[in-house]
Amino acid sequence: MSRAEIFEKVRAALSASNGDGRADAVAKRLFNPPASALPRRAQVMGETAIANFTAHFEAQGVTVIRVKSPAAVPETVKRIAAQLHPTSPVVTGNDSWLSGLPWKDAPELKLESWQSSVVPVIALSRATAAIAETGTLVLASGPGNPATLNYLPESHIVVIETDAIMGGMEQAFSKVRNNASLNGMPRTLALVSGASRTADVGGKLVRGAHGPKNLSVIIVG
Amino acid sequence: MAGTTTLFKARANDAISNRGLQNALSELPTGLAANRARAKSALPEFEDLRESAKVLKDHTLAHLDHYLEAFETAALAAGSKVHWTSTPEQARATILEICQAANARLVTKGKSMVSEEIGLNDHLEKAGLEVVETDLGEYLIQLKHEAPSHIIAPAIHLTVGDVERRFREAHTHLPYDRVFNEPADLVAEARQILRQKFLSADVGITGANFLIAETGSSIIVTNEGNGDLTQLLPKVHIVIAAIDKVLPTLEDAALLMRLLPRSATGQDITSYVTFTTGPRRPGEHEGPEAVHIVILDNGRSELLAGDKRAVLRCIRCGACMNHCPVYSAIGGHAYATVYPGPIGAALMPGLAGVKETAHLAGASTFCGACAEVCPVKIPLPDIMRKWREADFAAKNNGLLQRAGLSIWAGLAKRPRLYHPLMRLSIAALSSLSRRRGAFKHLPFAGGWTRHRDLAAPQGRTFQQLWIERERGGPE
Repeated sequence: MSRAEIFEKVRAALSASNGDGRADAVAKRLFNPPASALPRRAQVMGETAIANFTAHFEAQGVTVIRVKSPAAVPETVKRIAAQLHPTSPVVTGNDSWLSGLPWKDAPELKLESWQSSVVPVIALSRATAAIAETGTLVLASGPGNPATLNYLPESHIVVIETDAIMGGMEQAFSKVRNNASLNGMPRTLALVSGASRTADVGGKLVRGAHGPKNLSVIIVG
Repeated sequence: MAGTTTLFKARANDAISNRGLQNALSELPTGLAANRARAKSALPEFEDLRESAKVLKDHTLAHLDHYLEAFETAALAAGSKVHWTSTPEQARATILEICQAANARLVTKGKSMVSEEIGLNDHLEKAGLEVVETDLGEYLIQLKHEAPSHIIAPAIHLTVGDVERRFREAHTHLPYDRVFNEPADLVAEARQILRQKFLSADVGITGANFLIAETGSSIIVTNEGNGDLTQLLPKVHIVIAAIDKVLPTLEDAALLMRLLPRSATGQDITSYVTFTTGPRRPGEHEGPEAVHIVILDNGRSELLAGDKRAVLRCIRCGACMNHCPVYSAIGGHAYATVYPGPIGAALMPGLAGVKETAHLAGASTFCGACAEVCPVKIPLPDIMRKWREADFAAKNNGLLQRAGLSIWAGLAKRPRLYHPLMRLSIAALSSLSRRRGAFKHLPFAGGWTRHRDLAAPQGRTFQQLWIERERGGPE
């Protein structure tokens, strides 16, 4: 069938033969990817990384708020939600870190567990990692942080801890790869670097094409 | 494939006299090309990254069989199904079968050039399925049954007024006299309509910017988030991708992601870059129940064999189009092929046949701007020249052209004959036109002089001037 035909043609094109060493080269490279030269802007750490990450997002018109401790997150979420969608509940998955926050400190906030039948207006997620190089949140899907919340609501609030903000994409990928609780790649690994946008109508940039019109980032730490 | 020489010439002529299109195209150099220049200058390592990307793609292509196998193994382990297809016919039949097995009626689509390549929408629609493009640009052209005119900005040929007219004609359930004050109002209307489609689709079809051999993941790169809703919400997700899309590891994707958005739109990164690995997992309440990855060859394995392999490095950023003086003059539709512009001229003969599409390589000034901006350093003019040679060797061009070229070649290979003859004819042309310095009419040059004067030679050949210059004589 086609599979055999395609492989035969590819091997013929490459004059491949058994024992030509190419299989070993591939296995080695897959198992142990060569370290690529990182641009200088991907080699930042600590406060510089946090500052660059913030600057990238702010340039995209994204609200970035930094709080000192996890305990301040509920109050911050409440304020953002009250401003954007005062009558809608904030929908979230069952992320254990988020669940452990003192939500009783913000009694006016209506936090709801996500049901797949509901189209959320505003949602809350926690990012696994973030990238300073481009200003990017890395969200790993699962019951804790359903990927649907990244794309379907009008507004999305994402929480990220300072120690998860890394220089470049490569560091974020190895964090995902080495995270035992993710068991390898999550089904959806979402890199989010701004609100949904399009320039397809007359070349003019418009926010809120299909995904969230508003993205808010809460940095913790 | 409808792309024939006559069609190209006719369409190119129409395009040049189409004022609306010329307005839309006039913004290319100040828009996408200028954005790329800004993004490039903000990243000092940009040129080094281009070289690394070239090396990476060459390595992957030289080991393509093994990386495809590794991808298949990882994708199967993640629970996806992998389908191998040699031809467009096989690919669209496979996709239709998957849709029918899922009892699908409504199919949403993310942007995919390979789906254009295999004529997927028509095929599914003929079988009674409703197919909805969800990338806003693709949706706009689908309303008029047009093909994309650019690989990343498919509706770049449309003005805001065109879009407004299309929406009034297509969305007949809304009041005809509704007011659109700005592009955002049009986007809002499309968002409303396409949301319903996302939520009720049975199958979602996307392309893939990259496939990762290490993890079996497919990657899509978007700004709208439409591809994500397309692949996440329906119960079946189909990925259609060609064999040249595979990369070894996540790190390799990182390298190319530093180049792709910068080269395409001048963004450091797009709003969304999404890695999808297999179907819904235990405990999850979202995601498709089945993921099918349809891998297409369609002539690429033959390109791999020949002296044009470098064309398979392409990551489909569109920079070659944005910087091409020919594309900027005639737009994408004139090419009448799935992939327009320089990459189209270099790739299409491999996919659709030399006889059918090699004339596109003639639609180039060989200025080299495309190769200069290509993020994976494809020598586009060299490859186009090779297609010209293949076309000439296959004797596809007319007798008159062949005879003319043979005479010229015969002369050019005999310098002792060529130089005096050139000196003579240039001196003759110069004295003939002495009064005006240009010709209004000239035998055999009617195609040129119909639209503009032909500048007359100034009396000496380039060779003569060069020798004088070398001797330090008058310039």
